Amino acid sequence: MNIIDILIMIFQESGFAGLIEDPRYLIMILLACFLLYLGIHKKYEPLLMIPIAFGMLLANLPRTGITDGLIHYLSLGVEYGIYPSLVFLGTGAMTDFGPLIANPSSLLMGAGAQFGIFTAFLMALVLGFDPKVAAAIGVIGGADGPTAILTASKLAMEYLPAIAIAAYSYMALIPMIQPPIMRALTTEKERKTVMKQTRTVTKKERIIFPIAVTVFVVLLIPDTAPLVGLLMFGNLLKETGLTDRLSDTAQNALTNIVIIFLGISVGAKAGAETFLTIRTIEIVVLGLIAFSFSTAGGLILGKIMYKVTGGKVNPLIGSAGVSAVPMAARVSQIEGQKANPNNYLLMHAMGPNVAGVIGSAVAAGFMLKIFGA
Amino acid sequence: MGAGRALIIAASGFMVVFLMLCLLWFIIVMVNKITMALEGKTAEEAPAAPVRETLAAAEASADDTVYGGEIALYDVDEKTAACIMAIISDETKIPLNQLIFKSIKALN
Repeated sequence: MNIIDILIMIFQESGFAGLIEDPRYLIMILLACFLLYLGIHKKYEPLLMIPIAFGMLLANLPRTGITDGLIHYLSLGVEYGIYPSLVFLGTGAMTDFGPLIANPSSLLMGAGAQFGIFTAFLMALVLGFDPKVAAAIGVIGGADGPTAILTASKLAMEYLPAIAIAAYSYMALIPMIQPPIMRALTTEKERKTVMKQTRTVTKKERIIFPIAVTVFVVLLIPDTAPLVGLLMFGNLLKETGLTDRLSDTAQNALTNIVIIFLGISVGAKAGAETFLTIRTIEIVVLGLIAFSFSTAGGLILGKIMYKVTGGKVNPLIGSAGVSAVPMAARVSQIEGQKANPNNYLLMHAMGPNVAGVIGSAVAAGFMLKIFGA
Repeated sequence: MGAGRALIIAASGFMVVFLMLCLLWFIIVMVNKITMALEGKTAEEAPAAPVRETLAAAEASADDTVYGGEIALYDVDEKTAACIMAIISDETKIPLNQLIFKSIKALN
């Protein structure tokens, strides 16, 4: 054996030879780099986009065996639905349900903004997707990453990466997707509506709220327990004022750790064989449709409330019903101020926004109830 | 899956979300009413405390206002003197019971 033979042997066993054997890996590496570009340069949901893209990069470097070792064990948290629930725990600890408690009618807009879930579900069926997969695709319309991941991990594991990437991409693109729909569905007069300041919410209400929601929602739809239960537990930790250390851990350390594991596991599921298909493109398109219909659903409910209340509700806050806290609420604020510089809709929009988180969890629970068995 | 069944699932799913969030609306309103009722009871019982506090403060201020009768007034009636003391208290932000007036004299 001479030096040339050794070099040839090293090359033949290297990942480069693997790339030549199956060029799809190269496409996936380029795609991972593109997602990294979106996360780093364009700042599209970087906290999740970067781990997902890097996971995709790692999993598509041939002959590493990493997906059978480290990634395999990390992925168990996705397969068993542990990570999305823990993210919800942190979300609950970060969320202020005060605007929703002060103005509970905003729950209706949160419900209306789940319209896209069921529209996309029907469209996915028309495109020939299996009903379970169609249900998982529909949940993208909830604009709630952890909910979409949990549903996909239980109903459509093979499409999990496409669904997760579509969900987070559209969440990042909210400031571009929503405004044209908002302007198309509302009049100038409606957008100018100034809303009155909401009432002060007492501490007792804030503490009772997560307990009451957990009891009633989980009793009615037990499949929502991993999401709604943990979301409300996190919120209770925040609101009691007695568990600051736990609340702080849930909001920061725990959420950050889980997001790293979740992102890298989801990205690593994006193998060339399952990801580079026409189905992925269909999922991405359906995700956009789901998102748009959800935005429209929330706005239509907002318009109905505008009429019913005699012009006291600005319909723009309806679009915030698509979860994506607080990005969607910020878009309502920006669009409201464009119409009327004295308009401050942010706190009003937070009501439908957090209602949307509960609404999408309920919709996901419904899908899991119907198709999970 | 047939089109009919798919439509029924979609419609019922949307309805379940609506009903659930309407139920939450009802719960929030009920929680608000209960807490307001409890706060209301507390508020009815509460006045006793402020009254007691006010009385205690009044007693304390009465104890402190030992100089009230010692002020010497020169060509000034009591009503004008009271006004002057109130203005000084207001301007200096010092409560009347902490101010000591020895005399008020009218200048020609």
